[in-house]
Amino acid sequence: MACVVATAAPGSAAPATPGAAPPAAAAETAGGGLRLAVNERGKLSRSIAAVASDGPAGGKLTVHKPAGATVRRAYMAIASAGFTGTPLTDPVTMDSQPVAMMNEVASGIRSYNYFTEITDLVRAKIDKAPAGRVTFVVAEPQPDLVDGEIVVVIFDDPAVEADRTVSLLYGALGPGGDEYQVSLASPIEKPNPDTRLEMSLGIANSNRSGGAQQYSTVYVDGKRLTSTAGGADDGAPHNGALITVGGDGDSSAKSADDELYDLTPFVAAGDRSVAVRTANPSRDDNVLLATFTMNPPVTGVTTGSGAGDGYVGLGDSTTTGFSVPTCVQDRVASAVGCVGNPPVTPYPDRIAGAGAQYADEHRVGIWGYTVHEAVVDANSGHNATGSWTPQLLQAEHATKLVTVSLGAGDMRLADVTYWLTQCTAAQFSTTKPSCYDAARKRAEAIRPDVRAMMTRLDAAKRNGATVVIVQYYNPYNTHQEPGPRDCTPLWAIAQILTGQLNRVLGEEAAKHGFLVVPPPPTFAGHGAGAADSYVFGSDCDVAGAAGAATFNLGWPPSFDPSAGPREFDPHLNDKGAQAQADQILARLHAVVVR
Amino acid sequence: MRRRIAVTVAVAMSVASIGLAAWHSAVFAGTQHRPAPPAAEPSIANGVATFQRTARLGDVATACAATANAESPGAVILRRGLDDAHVSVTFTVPCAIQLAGGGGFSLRDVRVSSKTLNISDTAFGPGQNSISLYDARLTGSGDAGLLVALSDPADRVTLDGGSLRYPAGIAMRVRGDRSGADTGGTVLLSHTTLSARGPGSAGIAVTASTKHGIIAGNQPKLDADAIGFVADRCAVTQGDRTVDCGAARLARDLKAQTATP
Repeated sequence: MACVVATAAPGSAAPATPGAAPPAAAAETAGGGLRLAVNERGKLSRSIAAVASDGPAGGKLTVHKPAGATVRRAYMAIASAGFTGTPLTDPVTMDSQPVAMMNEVASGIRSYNYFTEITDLVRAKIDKAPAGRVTFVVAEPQPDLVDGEIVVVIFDDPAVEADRTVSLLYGALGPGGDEYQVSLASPIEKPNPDTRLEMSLGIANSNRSGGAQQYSTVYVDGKRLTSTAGGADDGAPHNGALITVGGDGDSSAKSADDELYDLTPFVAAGDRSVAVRTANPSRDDNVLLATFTMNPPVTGVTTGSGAGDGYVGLGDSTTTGFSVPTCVQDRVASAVGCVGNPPVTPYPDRIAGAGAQYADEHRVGIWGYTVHEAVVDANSGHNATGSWTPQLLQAEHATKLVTVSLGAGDMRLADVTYWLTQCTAAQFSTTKPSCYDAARKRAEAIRPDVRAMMTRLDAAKRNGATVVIVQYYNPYNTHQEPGPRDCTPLWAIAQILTGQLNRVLGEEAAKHGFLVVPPPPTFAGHGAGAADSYVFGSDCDVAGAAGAATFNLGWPPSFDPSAGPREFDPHLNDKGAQAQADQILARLHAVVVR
Repeated sequence: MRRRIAVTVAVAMSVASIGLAAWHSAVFAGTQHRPAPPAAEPSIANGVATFQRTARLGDVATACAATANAESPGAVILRRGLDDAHVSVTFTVPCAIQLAGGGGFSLRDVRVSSKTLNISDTAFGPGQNSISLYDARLTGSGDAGLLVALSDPADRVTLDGGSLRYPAGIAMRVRGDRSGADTGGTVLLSHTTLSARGPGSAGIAVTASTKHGIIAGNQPKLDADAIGFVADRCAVTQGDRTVDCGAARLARDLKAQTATP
């Protein structure tokens, strides 16, 4: 809710349609997405309001205080006007007291956001006031440069009986979108009267009046919540007053679209996380704040790595940047299936970073993911583990590029103990298949899933995206290095496996007109066991494979599978990830040139 | 937490009584200088039980249980090896046993039921380790595997008679690779049954160095869908047939298969 004094003319450099990009405005890549800034837990309620104050007297911002409630924390988010390119220097005031301009973030629309705790500025006044409306005057020294202010007050509220969290995500949405996963302390119980799954968005520089089509979309667990978020509900339809937030006095009814949303219809009972994706197809809005008021309480929020849909990078562990020892596996808490920081930049991010063409990236690869899982998850509309949008459904939105590195998990390519025994069993029994036959049989067994996957990927091709099927590299060195290790048997086993997998991938890709990218030739001589390896592993001798069994407890012993042997780790290190990215980019370039 | 402490104390008292008995005998044998009482065996610190003297199998199983919890398996260090015979012992938890370079790991006519069991020497300094199982019958529970991993060139595993039955798989790696270079390792099997049949089983994998290792099998019974033996010199006789499982032969066979379209 806001009271707006709104008659001032926009600045001279402003576009003709309020909130729209000027004709000469170039696409910006700033706006790193929203990040969890506050997560308060307890018997809490919240008041959310926004104001745009154009005149010297300022605007009136009204907080709603529940009976008996006291202020725990309070925050203000401030948005400068879009496409002005000018950071704010003079502080906004609240009841004539300056608000420190903290946590400056550049948005993707040449504006700046700020986020400041204002508990000390508001606590005394609110706590002393009776329940109901408590009004503050907010004044902007540079009204033309400021779209408005959003205030969130978190109360300890005696009327609330069960623990909730009020979580604030602050930052600047990338023009292409943002994704985050909200992890909950316990499974969602829809019939429980204490359950509350509420999301509020704070958006600046958005205008839907006069036929303007500036809007943002929100998807929850892959289902569209709204495609009409935005507007200037709490401000006015001119530059310097384009502000809206879901809060006091707003309706969470979908038809109203007051930027206040009840997520309950979009999630499944029993879920312990909620995946939210926001995007701004009109590329002129500034989503700067998301507030979740939740029971079950929020335990964490993981932000997705990618921001756009132009390029969608699908895949398994080879697309995550993690190695065996660095991946703490958890598909619920992490979109990529590993908690922690990857030791290298994965190849999809390198492709995105190579130039503006594919910068609008959304990487959705998951550690240990298989083609089979991808197909099953897409068919069911949600991931079996974790509530991120299924990879293949995400790919259907791609408009420029899709890269796919899937299939190694289906082949158990990294399970050297398994393949050692499969590939030598024929020595002991005339009824056992050769290594070649065993690999071929397994590759053919996954062909139906590969077909189903590629049928799904046709949607991206129809959007105009180039679909790249990335074939697998042999992670082991080609021949004996100077020294005691003999790479030949394990290299040969991996060569047979990748050969059969790549054959199936290539044959099916050809039917759909997808671009097949073979392994980089530069990998030869750089597998595990080589002095200059492109993978994390260091061993290529089949004699070591017996120690790579899944029941190797390690020392000190641990049940954590990542604590197991790492010598045969086939994941790409820094050189390998770059070689993979270079190979794909070279093939893409060759196609364009041709 | 209270229960965990109680178990630990019980183990400490039990093993202490074993040590005290030996000390008691020495005292009353007429020695003039009374020796200091030996430390309780095993000592437990940081979730690891350490035996300073040659251990008995039942004590190792008890130490495994005392050191395991929900987050980690049991952990035992044998500084003077293990020697036992004619006993039947149950390991109630998955357990990792480290051989610290002294003594052997010798079992004769024993029966063992266990969860996943690891016996290895990689965490400590070099030293010759030998594992000898004579008519030993080790059986794993539903999802249990057996891993033996030794890393010094003179290390040796000898299986004579008996059986190893682990549904998740049996893996033996004796490759003399402590220094990073494979320098040896010997595995000898005679009339032993190895069985690894369970859902998702890794099968039977036995390896020694592909440069200097030796595997010799004399009529072992191998019961698994997937079986792999590899060493520099590797031969397994089954019936009247001898399988050449040498690394050079394997490399030739596999390289030929890579050329198959």
